[in-house]
Amino acid sequence: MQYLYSNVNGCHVLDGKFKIVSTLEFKNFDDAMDALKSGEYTPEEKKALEDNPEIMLVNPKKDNVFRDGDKRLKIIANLEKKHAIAANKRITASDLSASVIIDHTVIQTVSALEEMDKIINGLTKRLREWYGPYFPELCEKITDHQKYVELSINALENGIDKLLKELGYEQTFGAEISEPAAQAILSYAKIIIGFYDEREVMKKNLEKIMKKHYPHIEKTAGYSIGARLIASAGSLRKIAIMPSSTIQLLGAEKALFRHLVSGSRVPKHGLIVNHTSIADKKRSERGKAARMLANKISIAARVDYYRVSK
Amino acid sequence: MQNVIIDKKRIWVKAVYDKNPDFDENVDKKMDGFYRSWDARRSKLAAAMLKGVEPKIDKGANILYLGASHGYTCSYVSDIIGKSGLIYAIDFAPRVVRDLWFLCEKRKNMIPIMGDASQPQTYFHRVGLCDFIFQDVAQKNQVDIFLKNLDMFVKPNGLGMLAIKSRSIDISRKPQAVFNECRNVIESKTKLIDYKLLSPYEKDHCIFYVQKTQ
Ligand SMILES: C[S@@+](CC[C@H](N)C(=O)[O-])C[C@H]1O[C@@H](n2cnc3c(N)ncnc32)[C@H](O)[C@@H]1O
Repeated sequence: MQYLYSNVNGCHVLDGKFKIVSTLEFKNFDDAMDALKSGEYTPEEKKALEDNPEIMLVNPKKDNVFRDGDKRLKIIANLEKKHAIAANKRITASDLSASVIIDHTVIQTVSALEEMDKIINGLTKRLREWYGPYFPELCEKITDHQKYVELSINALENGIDKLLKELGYEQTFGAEISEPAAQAILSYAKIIIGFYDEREVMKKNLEKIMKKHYPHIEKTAGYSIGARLIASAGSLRKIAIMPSSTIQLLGAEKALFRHLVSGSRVPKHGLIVNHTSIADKKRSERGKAARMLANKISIAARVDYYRVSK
Repeated sequence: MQNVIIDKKRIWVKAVYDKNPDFDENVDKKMDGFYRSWDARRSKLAAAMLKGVEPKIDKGANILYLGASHGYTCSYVSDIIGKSGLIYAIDFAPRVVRDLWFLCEKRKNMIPIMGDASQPQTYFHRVGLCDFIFQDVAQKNQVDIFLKNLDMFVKPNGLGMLAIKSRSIDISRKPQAVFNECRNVIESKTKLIDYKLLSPYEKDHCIFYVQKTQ
C-alpha cells in the first residue's frame, strides 16, 4: 500500500511503513498552498494519482476524507521541523498581506469618523469657553457647533457688528478683545474648521467606496449605515453569512446582552434604526420595518460578497 | 515540570530565549538563571497550574496551540519546551497574528499560523504530529473544535487542555450547567485527568485536562 501526503514541503509518496519514498516539489508554492487549504487537488497530486490510481490520498479533500486516524498520525509525523517553520512563516506572511481588503478601509474610516466627531466636539466646546466671554450672544444663540465655529471666524476677522444685528441685538455685553487674544482664538478656530472640512472629505470618500465595492448594501441601507454595519460585524463576509435577525440587532449588542443576562426588554433593532424606512415609522411598527430592512440588507450583502469573491 | 517554579500564589518560568521581557513581565534572577513571572490573570494555563492542575509539557514537545492571540501564554510554553520543542500557534484574527509573527522571530520554536480552529482541514498540511494541544478560543462550539483537532493532530495517548468560557457557549445559563454538559461530552470521547474552575483568576471559566484515548 502507498500513501499520498502533501504538506508545506511538497507532495510525498509514502510506503506501507509510512516512510517517504519520493517527493514532488510544488512548482507554484502559493497556488499549491491555496489548493490544499481549500480542499482542492494540486497539479502534483493530480499527477501522482494518474501515475498510481491505487494510491491512498491522505489530505482532506471535498470528496475524500482519510478516516484511519492511527495511520494518518504516523503519516503527518513526516513533517520536519525546519520545513514546518520556514514554509509556515512564508504562508502566514502572505495570508497577512492578503487579509487587508477593502473592508479594512471601511472599518477604519468608520472608526476614524467617530474619533473625529469626539475630537471636534471637544475642540468646539473649548472654543465656546474661550471666545464666549467676548461675544456671549453668539455663543448663546448659535447652538449648532459647526455654524458657531464658522461665525466666530467671521466675527474675529470682520468685526461683530453685522452679526450682532442679525442675532437681534443692538449692543453686546461681551468684553473688549485685545489683538493678541483675537489672533490666538482665530488660529485655533481655523484648526477646528480644518477638521470639519477633512471630515466631509472622509465621508465623501466613504460614500464612493461603498458605491463602488458594496453597491447593493449602499442602495438598501445607505452608505453610512451600510459602512457602520460592516464595521460592527467585522467584515462583509460576516454579514453575508449572518442570519438577518442578527443583522437587525447589529450595534445593539449591549442591549441584547442586558436582555439575555437580566431579562430586560428584547431590543428590536440596532443601528439600522437610523434608516428612514424605520425612523419615520410609528413606534409600534418599527419592529416589523426593522425585520424587513434587515432581510433586504442580508440579500444585498450576499450579492455584494459573492459577486466579487466567486 | 522542569523550569517552572510555583510558590504559593506565584508562578515563574525559566527564560530560555532571553531575559528581556516580551510582555512587560517581571524577570527575576535566581540561582540557575532568569525567571519570567507569569500572570495567572492573563493566562488560563498559569491559572490552571496555580489551581493544582499538573500538565505534563515536556522539553522538546510539539504543541498545537489554538487561540494563541498575542502569544502571552504561548511565550511561556515556548520557554517550557525549550529550543528543541515546537509550537504551532494558531489564531484567526489578522491583528493578533501580526503580533505573533514578530514574537516568532525571536522565539524560533514558535510558528504563527492564521487559521480557523474550527476548520482543521484548512491547515492539515501545515501542522505535524503533536504531543499536546492547548485550546482557548472562546467560541460557542469550543468542545467540538477541541475534539476535532485532538483527533486530527495529537498522537495516541497525547495530552490536551481545554479552557472553557461558559458565557461564549451560552450566556443565559448557569456556568456550572454549561461545564457539566461539556464534561459529559469530553468524558465520552477522552480520558479526563483533571477538571478545575479557574476562579478567582478568571470568572466563569473552567479547564479540562485530558488524555487522548486511542
Ligand atoms: C481569550 S483569547 C486567547 C488568549 C491566549 N490563550 C493567552 O492566554 O494568551 C481567544 C483567542 O482565540 C481566537 N479565536 C477565537 N475563535 C477562533 C477560531 N475559530 N480559530 C482560531 N482562533 C480563534 C481569538 O482571535 C482570540 O485571539
